[in-house]
Amino acid sequence: MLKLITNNMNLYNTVRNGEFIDGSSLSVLIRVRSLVHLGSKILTHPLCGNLRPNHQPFRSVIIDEKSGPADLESLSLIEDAVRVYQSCKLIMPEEIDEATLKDYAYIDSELMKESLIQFSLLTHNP
Amino acid sequence: MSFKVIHYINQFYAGIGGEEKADYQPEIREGVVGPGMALKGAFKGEAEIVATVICGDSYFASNMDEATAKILDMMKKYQPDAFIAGPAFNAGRYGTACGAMCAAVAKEFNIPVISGMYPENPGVEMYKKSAWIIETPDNAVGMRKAVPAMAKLALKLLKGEAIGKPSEEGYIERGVRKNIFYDKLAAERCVDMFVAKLKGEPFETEYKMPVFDRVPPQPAVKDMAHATIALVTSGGICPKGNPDHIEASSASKFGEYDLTGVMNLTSETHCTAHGGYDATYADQDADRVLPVDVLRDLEREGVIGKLHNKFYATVGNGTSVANAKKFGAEIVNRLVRDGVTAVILTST
Amino acid sequence: MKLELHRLNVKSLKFAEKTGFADGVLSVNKAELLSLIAEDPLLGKNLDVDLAMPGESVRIMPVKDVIEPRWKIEGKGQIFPGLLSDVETVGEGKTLVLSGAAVLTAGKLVRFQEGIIDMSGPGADYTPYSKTCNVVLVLEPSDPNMDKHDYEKACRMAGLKAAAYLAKSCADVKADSVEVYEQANIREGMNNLPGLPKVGYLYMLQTQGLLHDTYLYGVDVKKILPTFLSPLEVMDGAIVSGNCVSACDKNSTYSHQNNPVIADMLKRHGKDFNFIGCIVTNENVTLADKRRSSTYATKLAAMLGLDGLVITEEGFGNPDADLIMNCWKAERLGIKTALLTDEYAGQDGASQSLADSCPEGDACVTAGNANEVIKLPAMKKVIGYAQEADVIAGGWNGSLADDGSITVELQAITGSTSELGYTKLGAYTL
Repeated sequence: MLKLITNNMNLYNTVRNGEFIDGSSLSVLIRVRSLVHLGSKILTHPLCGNLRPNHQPFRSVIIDEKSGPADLESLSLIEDAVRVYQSCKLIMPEEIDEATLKDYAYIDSELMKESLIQFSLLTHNP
Repeated sequence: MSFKVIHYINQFYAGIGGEEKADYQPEIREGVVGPGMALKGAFKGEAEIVATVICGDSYFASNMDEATAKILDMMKKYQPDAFIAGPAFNAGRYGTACGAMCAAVAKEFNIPVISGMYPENPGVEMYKKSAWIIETPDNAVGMRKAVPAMAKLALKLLKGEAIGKPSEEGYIERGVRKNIFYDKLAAERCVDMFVAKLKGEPFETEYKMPVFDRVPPQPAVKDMAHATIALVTSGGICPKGNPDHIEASSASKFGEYDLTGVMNLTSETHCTAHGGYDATYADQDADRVLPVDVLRDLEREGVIGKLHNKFYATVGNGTSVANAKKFGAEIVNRLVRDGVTAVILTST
Repeated sequence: MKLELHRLNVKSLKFAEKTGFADGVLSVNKAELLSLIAEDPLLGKNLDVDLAMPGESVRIMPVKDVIEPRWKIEGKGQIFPGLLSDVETVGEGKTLVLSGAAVLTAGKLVRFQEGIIDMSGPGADYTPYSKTCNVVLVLEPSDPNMDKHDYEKACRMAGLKAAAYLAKSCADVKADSVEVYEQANIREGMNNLPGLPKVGYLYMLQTQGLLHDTYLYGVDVKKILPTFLSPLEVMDGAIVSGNCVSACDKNSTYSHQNNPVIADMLKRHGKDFNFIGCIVTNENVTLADKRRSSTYATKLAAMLGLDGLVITEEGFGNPDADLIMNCWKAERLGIKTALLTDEYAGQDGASQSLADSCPEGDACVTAGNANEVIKLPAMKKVIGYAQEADVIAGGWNGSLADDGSITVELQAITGSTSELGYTKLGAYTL
């Protein structure tokens, strides 16, 4: 079953099937990794967007949730993504103001929108 | 004014003694000792060795934090401009000590740190990102070449001069990327490289893609109920007392130990030789690293055929890849010879 | 196909009564230019035009795009087809180029975006656009709550309009120099130059969404299948940038118009190889798209019978996956590749540079480590909004010091690690 894993509440509120992660973007990646271990397949690249981890407090990944043997391509993608995050000391920019945070959430939604439409996951525009 | 340098050597190069004196406690002496003489010559008066630190290799290996703190403290009053350790050639514990001291000094004093080692010295893998390590042959015959190269690099660093590529300066690649302005646009460099590749001419890539040692997964064991399963670990588990004296780091050997009739590892029977992690929990119950107890359960439940009656252990801490490969090949030969179906590898 | 570039060498800028060119000076009628861009109801009232010359103590930020003023004086179509002009094919005839001049668009879009251009000091060494005479448009939306797609488009169009306007106003001036480019059609191209390897250029374009988009003849490139393009079309603005996040390695429209890979491949065409043309491909977010595009692009190369491909990436992180797929898929079809990328090796240079790799990627040129930190001293004048340094990609809280200096990663400097290879920066391993 297709599912969006995200820590972006705006986006979570617009999808048919989502899982909200109350945490950092690294927590999202780690949750995705756990699901991949259980057999899920990743459908969107976990590093989408062109910002360093400390400039991307929101992360969203679409997966096909399944159980069974791990999909090796998904596993290698998510592990590489986690490695990139862990090599970056600053995960969350400290003292981020509301306006900027809103912009981050907006861009994250924007980057995912096209894919969400493609996978028919969107109920209404974010 | 010449630059002030502190030199680090072990008990052997200080002329104190060999292995029997390896527990020699750290000491600092004013001026030059042993190979420092050659360094001094190579500096040609541009830098001066104000003091030499001497420490036994075993002492350093088993008291790393304490030895490091003590040495840093001894160095303070000399206000060094640079720190040179070794060269250690292929001596594993000496190399590790040189590397560890370089890393600690760089952090504490924020000054250039230089060592010299043979590429397979475990100290290289562990500390190449923290120190400049001049590549040396595997034994002290290489002293005459190593020392001038170390001195030259040290002077360049002290003067703040730009450091060239590893092949130009003779140091071991640190794996640290540094920006540089070339004479040509990146686009032109790329088309140059493209043409060389098309023509089959030699070219040097500007970024070496990491190549991972990938081991293709073997087919699953179909009949576990009749399989013989062996345990192999790099977590250092051995019979109490470490009868083969497997080194706490940079292991030069592995051990083969009998499990006949052993149902459970206890603090009475087994311990770890590993020096790279907190050994408390492994020493309390070595099953935590080498799960003999669980495998005996599985054996009794009929999930596996049987547990192989020997296990193999070494210490992964700082052990060179070359040595690890050698151990692995030898262990596999013995397992195949004994008809083992599959192996569970445990690390730490 | 034949295209002549008629170059006027711009050495200086000034505001004047009439927009035009004489003796190396581009004169700009500020009021006329302002009223032109103000025609767009999406743009606000507080628009400004400023000038910045090489060597001046000027900082421009946040920069969105850089565009070279060009105007077609003869031949089919007009500059920036599908956006500013009709969708007619370009790349033939005569195009006037204001060499040495550039239009910069600056203004806030979302808060952590666009780049910095310093016209002097250490930062100037890293950006190609400190050497151009810059006409800077400072923009704002007419409604602060405007949809960001609309505002992005308005900024993009303002830049294109200004660039076309400036060049058009100089259309009657005789060129300082004329360059002639010819491109054979495929049938002739294939038969020309027997004995030389046939090669192509795999032109990867960033296409992930807002601030990460690129347009080909006005079409959003994330919606295309890889396609074939003449290098001469690119010179007439067939490819336009709509992206600016992490400004160091986003290809500005200027760098597309002047693509240095194409320039060098055209120079060596007939000597070292037979350059057949460009294959344009995208860098989408979904893995199925990545697989489809890389398979399709390399299939096109194989259908054309190419022996080799130069591949340039745009951006970093997930586009690394596209780059690597393009590389190994081409190599496994027997097509030799050379790659052009940049690196994110951390501020200390010790992290792994790319998020993906393959053993086939044995010929790789890099435009430098975008995480290296640089201190940009205060400038006498800031065009735009200096306080954005704190939130710009590559900056962090405290980037902007009280004395006006900015400490940032190279990432924040426009074009500093251009993956079209428009700078001399590179990196080596210590």
